[in-house]
Amino acid sequence: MSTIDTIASRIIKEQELIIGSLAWDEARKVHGINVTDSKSGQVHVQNGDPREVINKLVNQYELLFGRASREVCRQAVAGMVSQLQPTEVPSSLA
Amino acid sequence: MPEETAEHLKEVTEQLYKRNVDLAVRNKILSLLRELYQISILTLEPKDLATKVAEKVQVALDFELFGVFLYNENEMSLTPLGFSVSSKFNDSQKIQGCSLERLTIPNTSVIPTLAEVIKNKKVREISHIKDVWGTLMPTCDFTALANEANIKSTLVLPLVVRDQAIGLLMLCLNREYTELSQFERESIFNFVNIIAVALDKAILYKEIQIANARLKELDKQKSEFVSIASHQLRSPLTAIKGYSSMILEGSFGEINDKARGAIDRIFQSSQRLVLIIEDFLNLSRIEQGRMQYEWATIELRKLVEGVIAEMEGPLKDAQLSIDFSHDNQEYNITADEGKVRQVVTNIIDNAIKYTKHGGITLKIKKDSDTRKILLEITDTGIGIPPDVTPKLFQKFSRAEDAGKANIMGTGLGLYVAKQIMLAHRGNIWVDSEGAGKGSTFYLEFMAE
Repeated sequence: MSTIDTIASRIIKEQELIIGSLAWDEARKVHGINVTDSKSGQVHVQNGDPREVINKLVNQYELLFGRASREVCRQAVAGMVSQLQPTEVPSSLA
Repeated sequence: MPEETAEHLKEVTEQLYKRNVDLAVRNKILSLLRELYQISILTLEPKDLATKVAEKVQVALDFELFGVFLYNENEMSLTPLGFSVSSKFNDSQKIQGCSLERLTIPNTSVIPTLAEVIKNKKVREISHIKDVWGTLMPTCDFTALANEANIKSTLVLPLVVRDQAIGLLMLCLNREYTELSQFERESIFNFVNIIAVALDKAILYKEIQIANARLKELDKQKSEFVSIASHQLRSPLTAIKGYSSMILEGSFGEINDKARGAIDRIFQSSQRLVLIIEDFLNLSRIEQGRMQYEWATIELRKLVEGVIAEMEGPLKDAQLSIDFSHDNQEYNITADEGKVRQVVTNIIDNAIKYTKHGGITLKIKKDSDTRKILLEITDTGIGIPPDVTPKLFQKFSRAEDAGKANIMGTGLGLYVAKQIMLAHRGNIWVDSEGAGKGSTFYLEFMAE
């Protein structure tokens, strides 16, 4: 998995800890997120700008659960985001 | 759905989400603590423990570096015990030619932050990792290392046990401490105590292991010394005993009464010494696993009668009665006759030594269900205080009054008796109502 795939997977898994399997259902609704195996957390980010796909994923949760869910996403991947170049960081996680 | 209701529903959902976040944080902390606890109970070697803990926490919390250091108070040094770094930190170390994992920090007093953590047992932040390792590894470019590994802050936490810092944890983060999530901050302060206690326990265990190995070695050396010394003493003693006996029997001509008295004392003393040496030899044989048994079918009642007959002289001298009650049936056991005789003799001999008035009673019986034979030897002697009973069958255990009563012995007789009985798949134990109330020794054998 690429770093961006791992970031998507980590976000969904963190949401799963809070809202259960609904996290995977919501992730599947996001265009550009391809869940290959929810048990092992295999996720591929495809179609277009990966930063935008991550933004859409974060927005999907925020739409349902409010601002707190964005903070959860941000903190879940803070360590990984720090490894990215500033231009690679999705705006929702900055 | 009316707009107002939808808005209310959204609010409720968001509130529920926030509560779930709290629960999830607690679950994650508990889960991590449980894993650390499992490591702590399954790992007893300090270095192994520190390494496993470091790996677990570094991965779980995305730290760039997690180091467990042990503090040596005398040298004021810090030795790395467990170290785990991110792949980025590792790559960067290789590029910069640094290797921090095996680097002991020799003198913490010259690094003010570390000295303060150790002394005041407070958490401190280090401005740059080169403040810790800079002077120890001048060839390493720590600024480049920190940049490449994306280290934004470094925390140092003391590992405190019994109000003493036994070491510290060093955490290199890729964020500022203030940016850490609630889970990360709570985790850090929860696991630090678990690591401290687990490490302390592992260190104590290792110290006990070392002390135990040393004691075993000393015990082995002692057994070998006793064995060699006893063998070396036996030959000259045999000569002393043999020649004094011959002199007493007149083999070298007549001797006057004064000389006879002196030589008789030499003979009696040498006989006692032979018994003492035999006890020591038995002890070394047992401890070195060299005790040999010659197994045969023997009849226990006859053996006991034989021992009683042999003890007639000492019983008469002590003016004690003896009574052996049995039902005339045979009590066959598979045993080493000499060794069982030694045990029975020892118990009766002790009974004589420790009884001033009254006598000794023996009983034998067989339980047909369990096929066990029980020989009871009861005396009306000095008895055994309850606190002494558990120690009675240990090495060098003697009755407290033995010294006062001038009773000779090594304190090995009952220990040897117990080992012999256990080798016979039997047992030996004692009952006494206390000092001055006599005692009963029980010898249990398996019937054939």
